[in-house]
Amino acid sequence: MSTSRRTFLKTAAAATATAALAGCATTEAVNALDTSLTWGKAPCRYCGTGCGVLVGTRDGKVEAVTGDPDCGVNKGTLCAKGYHLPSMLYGEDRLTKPLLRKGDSYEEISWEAALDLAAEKFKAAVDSHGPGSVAMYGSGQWTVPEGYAALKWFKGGIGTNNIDPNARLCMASAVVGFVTTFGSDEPMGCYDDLDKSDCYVLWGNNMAEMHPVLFSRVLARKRAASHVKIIDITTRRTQTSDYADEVLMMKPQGDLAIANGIARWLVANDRIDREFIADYCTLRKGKTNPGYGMEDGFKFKDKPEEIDLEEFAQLVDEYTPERVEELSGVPADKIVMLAKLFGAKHIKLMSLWCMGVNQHVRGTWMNNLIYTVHLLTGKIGVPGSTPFSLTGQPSACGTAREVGTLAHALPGGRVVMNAKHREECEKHWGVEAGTIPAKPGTHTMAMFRALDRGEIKVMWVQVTNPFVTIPNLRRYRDGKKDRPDDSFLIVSDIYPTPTTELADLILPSAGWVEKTGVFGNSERRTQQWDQMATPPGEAKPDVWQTVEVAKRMGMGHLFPWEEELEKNLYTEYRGLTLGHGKDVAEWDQLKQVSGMRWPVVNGKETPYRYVAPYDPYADPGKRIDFYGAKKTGGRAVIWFRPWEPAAEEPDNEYPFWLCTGRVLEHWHTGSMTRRVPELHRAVPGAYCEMNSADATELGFVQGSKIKVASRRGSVELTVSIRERGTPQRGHLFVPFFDESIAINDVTLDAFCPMSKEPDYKKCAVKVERV
Amino acid sequence: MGDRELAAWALSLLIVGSLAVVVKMLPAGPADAYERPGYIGLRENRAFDGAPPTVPHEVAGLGRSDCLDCHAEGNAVDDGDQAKPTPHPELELCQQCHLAQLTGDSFRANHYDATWAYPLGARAQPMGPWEIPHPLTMRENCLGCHGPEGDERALRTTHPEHIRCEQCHIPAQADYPGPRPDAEIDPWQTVR
Repeated sequence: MSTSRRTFLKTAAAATATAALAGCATTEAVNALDTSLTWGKAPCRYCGTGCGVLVGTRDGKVEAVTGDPDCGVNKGTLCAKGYHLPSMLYGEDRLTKPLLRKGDSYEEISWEAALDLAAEKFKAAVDSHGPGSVAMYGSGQWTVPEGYAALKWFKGGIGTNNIDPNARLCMASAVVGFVTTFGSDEPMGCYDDLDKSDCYVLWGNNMAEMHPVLFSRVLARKRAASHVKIIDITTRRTQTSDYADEVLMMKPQGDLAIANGIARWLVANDRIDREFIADYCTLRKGKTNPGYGMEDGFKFKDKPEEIDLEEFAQLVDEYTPERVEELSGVPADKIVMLAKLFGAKHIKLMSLWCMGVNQHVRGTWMNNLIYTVHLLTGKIGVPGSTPFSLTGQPSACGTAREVGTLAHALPGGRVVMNAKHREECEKHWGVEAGTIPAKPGTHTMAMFRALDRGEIKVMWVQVTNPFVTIPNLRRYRDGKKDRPDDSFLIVSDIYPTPTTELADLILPSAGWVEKTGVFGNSERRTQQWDQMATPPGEAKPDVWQTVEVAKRMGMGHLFPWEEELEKNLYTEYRGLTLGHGKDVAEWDQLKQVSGMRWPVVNGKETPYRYVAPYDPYADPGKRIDFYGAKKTGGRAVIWFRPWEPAAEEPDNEYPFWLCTGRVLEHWHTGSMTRRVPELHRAVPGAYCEMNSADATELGFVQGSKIKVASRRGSVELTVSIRERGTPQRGHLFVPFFDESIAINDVTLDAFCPMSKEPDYKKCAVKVERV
Repeated sequence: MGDRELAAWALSLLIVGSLAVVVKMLPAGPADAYERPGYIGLRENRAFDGAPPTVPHEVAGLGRSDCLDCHAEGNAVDDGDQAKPTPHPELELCQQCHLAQLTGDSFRANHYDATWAYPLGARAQPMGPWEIPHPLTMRENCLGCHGPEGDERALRTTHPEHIRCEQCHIPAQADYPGPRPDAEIDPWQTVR
């Protein structure tokens, strides 16, 4: 022992002498760390918070992490997932070789053979069925270079817009909400707001579990200033409720009524900011009863109509506190309390929301309505007083939204429907005019329906696990299982998942810091990292896989770089963001810091967008400058959007509401976090939360085995009473991380007609004893 | 006794007294930190040095658990056990970092291998104060672990009344003027 200790100290000393923190300015922080490791910086792999992580490696392996004290997001803290990042990469079943399906089993093949085969399949499908017969399904976990390469290859190479990320299931309603209200995606505020507000209104947002690091910032503010209030509008008592001053228990879909109730009260009691509305806003109403998108081939287009404040007042007039109580279940006096908070001039108020609002059959409307109540009162663009949309994936903003890997999008806030936007991209890429089709490709649900109908012949899935996450999953999974030869499915991942199980070709990927990358978090922060660890076996970065297949299809000219592929892709992409108010930072500058918030002009970041002097694009003569709202003359839109019922409601046969979601310890489908021993032991499997009164009535106790069934499918679960969360009577909650319990067999594939984002929070189920 | 003798006697008293103070401030624990059962025990409920410890006991419920009832100041709990006071009582969202462990099973085997970097610090000179061998993030209150109610697996301070620990104990890797310990020299030799 003595010898090994000496050896250790010797190595430590040698390492200390040479230890360098690759490209990071946080030397002081690292001084306190074990200098026998080599330290570098990266954003966390998991959620959209984007915590800065210092990563300690030795011999190409990640051995330790710690929160980056110099990162403005987390200031040195992490959550349990972040603290246990190292072992996430070292599950023993890492995919290390390309695998080709042979009947019921797989055989190892060489990368050369795998890439040739993938290219051949793509070529054959395009030649015989046209470019619309191939699809790429990516994710908000794609790095910026990965998403950009895939988008360029598909839209600028193959000539199809059939590329969509899983962000469709997660942030699409937020995107359409931003675009329809402000003409430009992504928030005006930032995390600094969290330290400055007087009142935090959480709209269906279990922030203590989903964004714990940000929620701790809120709690720190509350601790420092005793007047601060947290208001939790929710359908289920959660860990967040335990810290809230008010818990407003609402019926599913009741949020639409609550927002309208606030708007009505503000207008009726003249607590609106008339000057702000006159200077910076315009009012609109749109089509109503747009349906729920459950049928194949569903189409909807909104038709906005300008209205004035008087008509707006008439439209919201039915939402009296009493009527809202009926629709939402929240007591009338609480609606008035909420409205008074919005109406109080001296109160800085922050709205926060994520999946409760976005995964909603009226998700776009709900996003619109939160902006409506903030715009009516001018509570926007003031530090500490702003609406703030939180994201769930590490680069939902950076890649899906900013790069534009959605079926209708192009980089830098451009869309395929706009001829000028297409032309700008084609020029930037040096591809023939007319390469990019004007028609949007298939969005996620349409894509999987087309795959199921046999219209998509080749699909490549990267960095996500759709055969766990797609709602009404049984249709799509069984379709692929029963008719395996209808399509050729390529899946790139770091671990085996239910999605790789259906794949015809599995490609082993490099994960997190085993590759160089860039993420973009919820607050417009672009975060770069360098490769620090060695991928296992033959695993390769997804971006390399994409480029190699593109080359084999004769599209190598799109990727002409011999080295530094990620840096070159990012730099080319950056060119498409400059001058558009979405200017991302330069690569070399990003290497030095723990992220920068765009627009970055002259090397300076923008914490508060649309507001001078923070935002160089904003007119200094204006209190706020919605310069992205070109279609509405630089004015933000105050939308009227009515309450409408959910797509499916409980009835006699299926008497319970089912809501699905995440837990703090697991991220997404758990393919990474479940392989971390400490996280798995904390939440080993899915369960069904039930109200104790319902359980008593049905004769269930903690741990009872039950079957939860909908019209679409069923799963077996154990009953959980008063553990993590407590649903209202008549409600159930089931987390979706557990791949052995496919709760999405039960969920409904109804979606928001404007964003096409499914509603995972509401469907009708029944419960039976097993 | 003349003035000289008196002065010498006073001086010797002073020296002996100071020595007694210095000796009292030496750590009482065994020399070999790597073999110290307490240190090995510290690894039991964390993934690596710097990872937050998992909860070593059963918890009644999740949510805003009553962690601080016992862990705010370190109450005595059942069986004469002592709850450890949190080194960061200002952070209220305990479950953000600390995981209850409901099972000992794994979902899949994992071959992550942590190295354990900092068992005990060094000292600049034989009688110098120990350096702090670990990072201080989330460990702002030293007495949380090293105080009388602290973790029995951590080194207990012999002088909890000196509450400003950083006056003498500096983080191991921080820059400071003066001689650095040479790693070739066994830092424990003077203690043995």
